[in-house]
Amino acid sequence: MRRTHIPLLLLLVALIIASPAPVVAAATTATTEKGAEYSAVVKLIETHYKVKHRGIPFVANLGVKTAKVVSKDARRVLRFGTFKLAIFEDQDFSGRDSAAGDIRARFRQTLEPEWHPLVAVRLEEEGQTYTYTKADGDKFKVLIVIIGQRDATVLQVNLNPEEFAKLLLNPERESRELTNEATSVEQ
Amino acid sequence: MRTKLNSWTKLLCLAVALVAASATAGRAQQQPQGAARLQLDNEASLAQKSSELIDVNLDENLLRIIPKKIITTTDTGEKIDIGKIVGGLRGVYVRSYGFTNEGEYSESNLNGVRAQLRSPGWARLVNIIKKKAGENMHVEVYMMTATGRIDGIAILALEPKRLTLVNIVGTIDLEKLSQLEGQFGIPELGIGNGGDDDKDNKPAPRKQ
Repeated sequence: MRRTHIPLLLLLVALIIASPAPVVAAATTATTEKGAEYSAVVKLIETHYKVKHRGIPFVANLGVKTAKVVSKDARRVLRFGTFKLAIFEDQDFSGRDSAAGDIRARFRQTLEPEWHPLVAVRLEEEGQTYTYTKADGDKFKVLIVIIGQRDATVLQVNLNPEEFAKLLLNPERESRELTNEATSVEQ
Repeated sequence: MRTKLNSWTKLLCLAVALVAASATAGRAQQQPQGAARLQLDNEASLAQKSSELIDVNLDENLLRIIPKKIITTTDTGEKIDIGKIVGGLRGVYVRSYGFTNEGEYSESNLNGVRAQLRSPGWARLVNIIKKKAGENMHVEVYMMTATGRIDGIAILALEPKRLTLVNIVGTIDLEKLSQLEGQFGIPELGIGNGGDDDKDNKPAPRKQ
């Protein structure tokens, strides 16, 4: 290396070190495929619980029961704008594959670090609710996973600050209400 | 020429060191959790053993989103301005574990949290023992006052089949603490009406 390059190299190193972490994170986000987290979570549920998404081409080759899965993009309802929804119906979500680990831990591994785990609830009668949030400009992305004994939903919505504040006040109840609202529209 | 280049290299090395040091210090300052922030996840086994789990994490960035004036109705029908209450908060963290049978958790599961609550600044504020028909709850409320004001609250609620840990970080009016019950995933612990039951709700001797 020519000696004259050393100062430039050092300057570059200094700039990299000095860069605040969020900037680096933002750059990572920018390169993430839009909607990738939602798709990754849907896929994770499929592999974890051995259920299947109808939209995946090789489903017929697998000896697993096919769920009715409805994925809708760009739907509009009153409380939130575009959303993505996957519904798994009449599947067995009661068992857990211990070798695959806890589903919650796997969500953490799957989602980018900027997704904040807002609430995780596991109740005997109502099942599991997991809500993750992420700032997205002047809105907030919210990813809600609800897993019951026989059904599951994955919902991603964009909320404005006012609606997001409501979610923060009662995270579990609002997560369920948002999901109910989205699935009602679906029906 | 070589001497001049060496000087520039040294200067740049110094600049690199300074910038790196300042960036590291800046990042350390960004760590939001002060002494009032408790580590509630030391007992990972509790989450695995429990049949029910509630885990809520609201950090300062999220709490800032809540408008300064937002009226909400409690389960008792009381209207409260939750925005005012959360104005000084920097975090709300809840862990609640439900168990199928009694005795599935023990005092030893609280060792990690209790050790933190013995650190300087934390003092037990009140002890509430509720023993009504069908209810057997022991609630301990601690406050962190290291800076001379309330910087945080910790609540330990022990029931035969449920263990709840709540950590509220930031400035809070103690009189309004009960209004947070039922909000942000904090369960109804009856702190506000603890005086109706068998109790020992005198302030405990201050620990330092």
